[in-house]
Amino acid sequence: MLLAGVDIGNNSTEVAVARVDNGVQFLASSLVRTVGLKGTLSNAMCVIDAVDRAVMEVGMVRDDLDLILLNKATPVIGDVAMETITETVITESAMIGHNPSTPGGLGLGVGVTSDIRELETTNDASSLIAVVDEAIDFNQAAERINAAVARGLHIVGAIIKKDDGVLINNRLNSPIPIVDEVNHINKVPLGMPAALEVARVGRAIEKLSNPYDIATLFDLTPEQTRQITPIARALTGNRSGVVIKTPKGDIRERRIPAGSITLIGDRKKETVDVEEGADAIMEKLALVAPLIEIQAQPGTNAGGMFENVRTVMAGLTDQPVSLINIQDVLAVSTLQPQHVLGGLAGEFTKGAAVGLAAMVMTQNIPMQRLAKKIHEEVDVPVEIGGVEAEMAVIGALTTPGTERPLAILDLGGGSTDASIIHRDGRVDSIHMAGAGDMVTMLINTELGLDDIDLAEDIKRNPLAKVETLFHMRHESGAVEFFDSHLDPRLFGRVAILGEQGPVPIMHDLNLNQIINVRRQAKEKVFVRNALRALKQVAPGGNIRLIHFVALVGGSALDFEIPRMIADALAEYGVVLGKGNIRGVEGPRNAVATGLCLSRSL
Amino acid sequence: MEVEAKPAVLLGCIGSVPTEWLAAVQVGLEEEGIPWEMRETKEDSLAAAASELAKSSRINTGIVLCSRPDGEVGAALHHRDLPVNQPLMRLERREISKMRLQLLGQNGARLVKGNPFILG
Repeated sequence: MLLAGVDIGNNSTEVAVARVDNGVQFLASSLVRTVGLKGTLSNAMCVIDAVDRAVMEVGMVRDDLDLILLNKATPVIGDVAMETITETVITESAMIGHNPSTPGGLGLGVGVTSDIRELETTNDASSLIAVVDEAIDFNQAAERINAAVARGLHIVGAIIKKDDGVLINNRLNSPIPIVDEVNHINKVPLGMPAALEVARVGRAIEKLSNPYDIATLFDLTPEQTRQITPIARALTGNRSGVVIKTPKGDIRERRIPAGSITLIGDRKKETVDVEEGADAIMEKLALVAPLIEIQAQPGTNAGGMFENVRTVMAGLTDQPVSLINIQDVLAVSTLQPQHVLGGLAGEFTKGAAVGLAAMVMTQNIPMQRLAKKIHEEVDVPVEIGGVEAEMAVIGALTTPGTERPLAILDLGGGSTDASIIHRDGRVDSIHMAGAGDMVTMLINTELGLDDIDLAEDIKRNPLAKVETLFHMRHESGAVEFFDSHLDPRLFGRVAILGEQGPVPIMHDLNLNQIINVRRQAKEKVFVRNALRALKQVAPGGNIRLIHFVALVGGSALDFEIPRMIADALAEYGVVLGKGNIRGVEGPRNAVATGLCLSRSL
Repeated sequence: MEVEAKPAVLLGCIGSVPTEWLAAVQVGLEEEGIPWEMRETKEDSLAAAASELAKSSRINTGIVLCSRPDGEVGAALHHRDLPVNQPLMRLERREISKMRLQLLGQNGARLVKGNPFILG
């Protein structure tokens, strides 16, 4: 009998073609991108395409097939969402803290803000800080400041709208610290006490990032010092900054009500506020395990997110929304860059946020309808084969060097799944919320990209820094030279090394920042879920009793995730590696292979 | 070819270049904190002259402005290692403005510093 095993996954559809008589002889395999949501009728075309490609490889046509076997898709759908829980609000614009690439001068200046045009007439004997808008060019600004100083005025610093800081400073008779590129210069209040600091190249400001120094400069009470703390924090690490004291200046950290969720377990029930953070949610989750359902407060952000997941699932399965149960969540703490409300130069600060992945199970993915449709198209009998998780371990056991008990970790896009085949052939499996899609979301948020496709590219590919027109330094430290010069758009930037060659990241982010965020996102999701999942399928919850673990699925091909999981599992004495299905397929094709094998048993 | 002792971006002019064009390029370099020096050039094509200055610059960078009543008008930023007829950046007659010239100066400085270019 000539058989095609077909595995329809979230992202890719895989086929194995085998002759099954007394034994099983594998002939060919193929892989295409899944079209449409897994398990729906729109998959039909990509299934047929994948089958055609596989049989063509061995010079046959699809009519030669005796049977097409579809996997009984794991009825799991994941969704992700992000909830901000703190936000820094600054009213009465009290701060400028940014990193213009080239500020002028050096040091600290404390004085009263004054329009540069006033310097000609004023007789103010106190220290002054000149405020220069775009109508005054660098020559005029320098002349006016020089003239004012010659008249005996005490000018201690300048705040400039344009990128002119160095030019003005070079033309002054006595240098002063200058902060430039202040976009909203018209919002700088005049006649107010202000402090301005510029650090040496390669250093960060020291006074204005310390709340007690700000308190010293402005003579603040303990209560006011508490209020100024978020400003000091937002200025930390910058090369230049300005703090202006305003009469009604008000800074506070606001907590945003994200809503509460109720975790309902087998025997217990716990309610937790999303504001309490990711760790609190995961602790409560462990208390109620095994989880049966999650309810979220209606009318809150958390409620809206869970409602969305249910609606999508209900539509897919033709079931009422009320029958859809959420059976796992993964909560992760993250930091979200936010525009400081009231800032003067587009300042950012980091607010705390919680990322949530949720997973839903259903009884009823419409595989039968899909099988019928494919049969109508190709005129070959189509059947639904075994359960996906079982087929995956049977397929994974064809990896050379494995034996029962073998566990597999299937690192997908929407969920992380684990199965184990025990010595006696029994199979247990578990599905966990949180996988590749969540990693993408975390990268997108923490780097402030606002571009999911870019975040996806950063997740999948290593990076390099383009150091000259002719060479780049890879993140591993290796240097690569080129015969002809690189695209000027790449020069000086961090580039993503994808299949289409290097692509520059246009955001102002350095290499280490991006690598750290990427690695942490993968650890928070995949390493945590790998441990969580293996503990649940391991005999007695003890990972040491599993001897072999094979990674399968798309994310097993990632350039760094397998190593991270191997590091985390090293202490358990487990053999862990990427599966190598039938000794030739690598971590791909496990389910399709398992389907073919299941017919010979 | 002689390489200069002092590190500087070398600037050159062909024909009668308006002083404010030259000033704009110099301001761009100054704001980025990179020194420059004026040099005579014997070449008469824009690209060749810029390439020549880049090759004698200790920091491998040359900028040439060109304005001839009946000939070439433009500006070019060149690097030592690029082919002579392929300057890194080039402004044509219609692209010349104070702002674009200042940017050319800034980008010349950024080429030296290894910072990303400001591309319009």
